[in-house]
Amino acid sequence: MGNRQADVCLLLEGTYPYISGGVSSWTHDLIVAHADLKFAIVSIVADKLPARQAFKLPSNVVDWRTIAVGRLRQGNTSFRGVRELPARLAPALSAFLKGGGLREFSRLLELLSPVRADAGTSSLLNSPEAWSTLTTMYNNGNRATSFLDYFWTWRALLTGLYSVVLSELPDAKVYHAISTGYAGLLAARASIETGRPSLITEHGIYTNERRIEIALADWLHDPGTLSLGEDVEPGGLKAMWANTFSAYSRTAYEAAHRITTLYAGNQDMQRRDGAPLGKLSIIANGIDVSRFSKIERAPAKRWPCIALIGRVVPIKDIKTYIRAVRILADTVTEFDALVLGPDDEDIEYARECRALVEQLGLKDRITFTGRVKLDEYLSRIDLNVLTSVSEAQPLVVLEAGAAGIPSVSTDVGCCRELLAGVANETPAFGEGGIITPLANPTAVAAALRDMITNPARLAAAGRAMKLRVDAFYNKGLIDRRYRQLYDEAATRPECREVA
Amino acid sequence: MAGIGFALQALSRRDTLSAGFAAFAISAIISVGPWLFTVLAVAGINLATVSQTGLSALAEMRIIIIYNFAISLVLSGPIAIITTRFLADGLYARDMKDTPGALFTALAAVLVTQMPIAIGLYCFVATLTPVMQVIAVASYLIVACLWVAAVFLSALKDYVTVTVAFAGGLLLSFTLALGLSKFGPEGLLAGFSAGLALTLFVLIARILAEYPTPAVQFSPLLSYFRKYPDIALSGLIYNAGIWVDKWVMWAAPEAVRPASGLVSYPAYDGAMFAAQLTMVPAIALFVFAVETKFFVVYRNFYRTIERHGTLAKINSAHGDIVNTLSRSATSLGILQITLALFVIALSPKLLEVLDLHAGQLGVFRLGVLGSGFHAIFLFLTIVLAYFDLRRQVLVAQIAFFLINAGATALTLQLGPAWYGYGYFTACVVAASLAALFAANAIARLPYLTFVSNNPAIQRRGA
Repeated sequence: MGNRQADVCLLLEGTYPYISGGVSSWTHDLIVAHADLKFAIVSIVADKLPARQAFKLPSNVVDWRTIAVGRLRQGNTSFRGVRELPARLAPALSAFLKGGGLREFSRLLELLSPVRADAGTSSLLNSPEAWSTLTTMYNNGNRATSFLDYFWTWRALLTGLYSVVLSELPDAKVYHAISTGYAGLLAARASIETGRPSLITEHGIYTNERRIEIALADWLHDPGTLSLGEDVEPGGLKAMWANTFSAYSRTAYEAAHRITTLYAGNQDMQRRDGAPLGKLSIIANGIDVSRFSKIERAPAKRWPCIALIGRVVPIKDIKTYIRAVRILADTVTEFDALVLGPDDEDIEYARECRALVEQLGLKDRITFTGRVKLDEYLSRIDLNVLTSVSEAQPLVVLEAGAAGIPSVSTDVGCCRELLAGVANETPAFGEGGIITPLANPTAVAAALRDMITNPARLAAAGRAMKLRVDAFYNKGLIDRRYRQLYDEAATRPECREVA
Repeated sequence: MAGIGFALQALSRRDTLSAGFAAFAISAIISVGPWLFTVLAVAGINLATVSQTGLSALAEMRIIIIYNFAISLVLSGPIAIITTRFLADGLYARDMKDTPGALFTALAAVLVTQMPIAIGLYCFVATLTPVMQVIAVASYLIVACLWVAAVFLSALKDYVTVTVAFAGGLLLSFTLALGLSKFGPEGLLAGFSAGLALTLFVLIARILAEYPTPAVQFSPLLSYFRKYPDIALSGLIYNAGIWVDKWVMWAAPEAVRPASGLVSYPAYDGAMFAAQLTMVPAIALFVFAVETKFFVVYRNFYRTIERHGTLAKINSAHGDIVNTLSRSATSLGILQITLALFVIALSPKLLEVLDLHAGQLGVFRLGVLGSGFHAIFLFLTIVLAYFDLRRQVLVAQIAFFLINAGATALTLQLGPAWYGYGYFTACVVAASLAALFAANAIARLPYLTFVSNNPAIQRRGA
């Protein structure tokens, strides 16, 4: 790995190449799909470097570095302006953390760039001058808060912020952050400092995920409350965290050249956090359509077969599926039901599911296959079922769809888009399945009955799904869309002025 | 799901800010006990010696006891102070099951390190009869073990047992010594040491009665030497600082050089020991003040922080500490000045009572004045220890040692009129230095507590 200029610098928070998971796999596929581009990678981790690496970096990765946002280097104790530094930073810092954006962040960069070689915990967090800045910030608006908790919160926030601001960035033509948060903030900084455009792709919406975590964090001693979906009470520490993450997102959005996400539902939240409408676009996740579409469907000289494809874990709500099968079996006798997926991840939940099957007298009806090769099963599945309580863009609906299998799915993530098409789909492919409410076995059973007792509807929905997936969710197509983004951004002239 | 954002909660883990420093500091106060005991014992022997002049046997026993007390106090000092810290941490964590193990480990460490020193001193450096060599070495080891055993009872705050055991032991020592005096110096020393041995056994029995866990397992005590090298050094330097002026003065032309080769200068030592007794009321006062008033405001400060108080409340608790300390320092100063003036005015009469001769008057007066500053120095190092300012304590103690050695050596050059100024100067400088450190630290206590002296932050480092 040399220090050559990369075509694309990916800014990744808490994922690739350390952790396995959806976003990491997606990142790996993106790099592999653009084998002719040189990638630089900045992995942002919390504290210690993870001991294991889940992915081997492809050969077109020319630069890889890791930033730990919980661990700032010490820096020098004396350099020009060291004593005045905390007091000079304080107004910009307050303005930024209280919900600022690109302008406040640029001001911080302006103050910190000249001391990048020297600044660190010694000068920014641990000096007596930093202490007086801390107490001033505390007295301006938090004087009723537990000082101990304020102290640690202040340090944690600033350690993260400063480690993003003081880290070394690879040289690249385009900076692409795969979330907002620290990664998005780093992209904003890259954009401001190099004049190169930054892109943001969000799978889940960062501020939303953080708000849930913050609301659930009962270790934080904070009289202020934060309830889900509501605004935070002003002044508390949870509000401080939430405002900070909002500021990071807003800054990243304001600095970005383009902002993409997987589906339209996410865009509402992006706009709420300050993303300008003109920059937004949707790029869904794609699948290898040719792999699934060539699967031969077995002739239907057997009972129809429904399947839930997924891990046996609570978020997939397997129990609703089992209860729906029970209700369905009361009126329809001729069908088989499968659960395809590993059941060793949450052993207790898997045990409960089997007990429920037994209790409802479905032992001969439902089969748990464990981990299987999906391609072998798709040829004899007629209807895919998804009962999850939370999803973004479930690939299984697309994979089944590519094989000509329609779905019955809960109304989560973008499932409605996947089954019914986006609002003004052209050409309109029609219904690819049925959407049901969450945790509603009766509704799921009714949808299943409507599909499997009506072969014409089932076949039509399968055809619609196959066409839709091929038209909009073909990985080749999706790769080309990212390529267009990269090409367009890479050829943009440098542009240093900011908002 | 991408993002780590809030995983930063690990950072917000609230490390305890005042991990058991109080227990250590309190024990450190009590550790002036062995030194007081030494002073009392030596002063007692001095009185006995003087009243029975001509008994060269008594003189020989006396010098061996002084050597034993002085050298063992200095050289076993690191083991004693590290043990103090270990027990304080155990008390703080409410985990004392290691105590018997620690006792035997500490005693073994004392025996292993002090045996070669005692044998070297009495069998090779000094010229003694073979019987006296055996008794002197045994006596040395008993005294060295006594210092360490006393630490356990101080840490356990069992002041009554400590006092009774030491007072009873000393009384028995004098009685046995006199009873065995017909066997010459060997009998005197054997009798005296037997009294101390009894004290040691009472202390050990008391500790084992309190903590009856089997002591088979080896205690992690020794790892504390690696963890707190500064504390170990402190234990060596401070005790050496107390003795170094006497050692230097043993080079004076007026020093006594008996056939045994164990040099001493009774005129200087005796005057100093008597003068240093004036510290006793001050020590008693600040043990009382620290344990009562100061500890309350001290604990309140940390509790305010740990119980999620606001900065305003923390600042007000900080103010209480500043007020309490300045009031204690003022009353300590007044007491010490009054006492010093009183003693100095009465010194000719006192010399008579103490059976010191007129030539010792100058040394005695300087010793009394110096002791006033010595008491203040002691008080301030204990305050610094309360806030775990180990480096500052060590710097003040090193200054005390170096100046006491250097300035005393200089007075030796300048002649008898100057004897005593070395110790006096060392006490004034050390007290001033400690006052400077303490004032600086206490003024910035919240910053010190949260940032510059917070192990959770300093440990993270780069």
